[in-house]
Amino acid sequence: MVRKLLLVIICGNILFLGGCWDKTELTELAFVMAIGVDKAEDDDKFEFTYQVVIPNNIPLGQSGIGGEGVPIVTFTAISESLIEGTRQVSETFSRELYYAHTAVAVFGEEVAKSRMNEVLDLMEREPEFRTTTAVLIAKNVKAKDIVSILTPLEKIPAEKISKAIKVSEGRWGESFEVDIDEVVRALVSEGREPAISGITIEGDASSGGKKEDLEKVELPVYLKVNGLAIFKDGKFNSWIEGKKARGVSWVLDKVKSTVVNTEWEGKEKAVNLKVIRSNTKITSNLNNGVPSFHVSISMEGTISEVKAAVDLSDPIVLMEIEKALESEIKQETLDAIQTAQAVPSDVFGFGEQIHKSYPKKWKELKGSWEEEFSKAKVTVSVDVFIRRTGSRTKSFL
Amino acid sequence: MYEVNKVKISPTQLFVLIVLFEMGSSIVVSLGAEAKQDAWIAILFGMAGGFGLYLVYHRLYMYYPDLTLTGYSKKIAGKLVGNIISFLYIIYFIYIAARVLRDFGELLVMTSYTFTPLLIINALMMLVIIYAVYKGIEVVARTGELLFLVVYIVAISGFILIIASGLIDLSNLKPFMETGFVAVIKVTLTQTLTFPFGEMVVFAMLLPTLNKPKYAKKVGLMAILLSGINIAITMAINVAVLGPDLYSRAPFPLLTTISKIEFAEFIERLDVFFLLYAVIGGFFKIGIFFYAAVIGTAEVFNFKETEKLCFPIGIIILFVSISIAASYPEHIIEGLDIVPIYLHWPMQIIIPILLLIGAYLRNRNKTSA
Repeated sequence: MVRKLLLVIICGNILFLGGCWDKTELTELAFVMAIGVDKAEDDDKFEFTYQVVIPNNIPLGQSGIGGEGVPIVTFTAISESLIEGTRQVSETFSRELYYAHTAVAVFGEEVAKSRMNEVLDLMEREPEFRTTTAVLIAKNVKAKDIVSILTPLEKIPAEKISKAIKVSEGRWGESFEVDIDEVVRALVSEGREPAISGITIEGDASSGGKKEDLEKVELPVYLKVNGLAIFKDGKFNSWIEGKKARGVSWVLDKVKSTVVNTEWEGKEKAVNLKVIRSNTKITSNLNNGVPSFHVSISMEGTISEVKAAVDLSDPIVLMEIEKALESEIKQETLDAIQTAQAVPSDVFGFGEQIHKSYPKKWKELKGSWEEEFSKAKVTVSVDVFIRRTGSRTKSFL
Repeated sequence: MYEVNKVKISPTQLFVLIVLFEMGSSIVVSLGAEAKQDAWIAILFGMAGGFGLYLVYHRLYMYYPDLTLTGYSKKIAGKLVGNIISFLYIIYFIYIAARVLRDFGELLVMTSYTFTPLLIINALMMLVIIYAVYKGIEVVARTGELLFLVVYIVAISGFILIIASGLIDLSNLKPFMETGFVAVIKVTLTQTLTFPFGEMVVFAMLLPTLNKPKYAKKVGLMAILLSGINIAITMAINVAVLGPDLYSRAPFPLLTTISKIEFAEFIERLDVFFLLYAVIGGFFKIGIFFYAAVIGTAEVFNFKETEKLCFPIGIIILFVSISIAASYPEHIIEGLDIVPIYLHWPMQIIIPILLLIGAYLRNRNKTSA
């Protein structure tokens, strides 16, 4: 009886001990919310900036109990590799850096131009990293500055960045979220180049990151998601901005909702359409071995604002508006495609399309794909459907 | 004769065991990765071959319905040769059980227990398996019926979430047959036929425990069909979500696929689904190989108290699992390049076919005499 009891106790212990082997208490971890990667002055090295949360300074719930000091702290390490930097930080920091909650990785332009892939390997390999971490390129500023800035509304700046990119993807369409896996996939693929959204600082970057700044109504300095970084041969090449960036989004079928407008009776941007659904299909063709592509975009929307006297109750007028909008979007998309072809950088994955549809031909083409891509004939067709006109028919204008 | 006939399992239990066994470790690895996006075709081809192999094992079972593989190899090839064959099979079962245990342990260490020694994880798993097999195959089979439901609930909810998260891009499965028919057949013959379908040879040790022998054929084929389709669908989903490049570079693509689930802003980081499945699948795969090694040993060495063999053989499997390879890449290269050709082919295909020919000749002589 005693022996059996002893056995049960011993075996029972084993069951509970398994998980304790490399247990780490929450208080021993430092949650890295964002990483900034810049090129260090010493050419071979990177400058890594880690944005770490200070849990005690995060207000709890709506009432905002707690939260006296700044919610984040950043650490910088200069080293050849990310893992080395991570360990180096332990000299200055009392906790172990923990990456499972890292929301964004920001790369400086200089790094993106040269050695971004070296850092991405660890992010892909390390199981602690989520491959759903968003990748961004710091535009005109250092990644360090992006990661070190404080933001209103969201207490944790990294959260603000990842939300901003999602919201702007969902509401505006000029930028979109790209995660680590997608970047790696585009880097590896012979028929696609990455296009990564940019983030920048508006205002005086050097004064950013102060808590007093957040107490002003008009922020002296703030983060802004802006532009698309176009890569060539796996290296950052140039920025695409504004409407052209949205053109890239149209082709990549990344637009969820946005606003498109057209002139009406000589008045610029007179009719605004709120797009609620959009869908893009790309088809490829070979004419005597020369690839050509057709991009067809169809979208549905609601008229949301007019600045001229338009009789929206007349279906014929609506059809005319549809036509006008179609040609606007078509132009926007063609501009984007031409810009990419001029680089040339196949951010649309046209090469992959050929690979999938014409695997045999692809073997001949892939060696000189950049050149083929820059010459490829691309046609665009757009279908706009206006379903509703909001809660008024004719405008009072 | 060995008391294997005392324990009985029902056709349903056999079905469940085969399905869990087949899916066991094959669903978690990148099966047929050399065929890239055509991995699922290689798996279906492998399944077709698996039907053929199962019919061979089943035919042998029809000749000797009361005997296990180790039992009838003595009858067919004579005592000496038969015992040598049986002994080789015991070693084979132990080795494969150890390989699966290593796979399983590496998976846990690599993905979540980064600092825990492999030995501890493997030992805990092995202790549970030793305990279950010590209690008998009926206990393992009943556990199977219960966990089969768990596996399917996890699998179906995972499947729905993957679709709901909008992760699937079917165009990743194109171009169809890019590497060519011959390359796919080559992957089939060197990989998917033998792993997991050829491993059904272990059921030649279990079939005599079936309480309704006439269902053996139907149940076996249906179970292979179900598991084959499940594996093929899983691999197709992996490729559709990850793309062929990442599929072939990820050691555990299903884990990567599941970790991509982000649904409704709060259902995410479901890695536990994968680990749950891996533990259940590993348990049955190791358990069944282990059981076959135990009853085989008992039969060859005329050992009466089978249960007492569980601990020594279990400990052997545990230590073999640690010592077979120094690193994970070494373990995988052995598993992909050496084991299929030099172990799986002879043990799963050549010897059973030779035995079948022998059985046919002997029984023909018997009837004509």
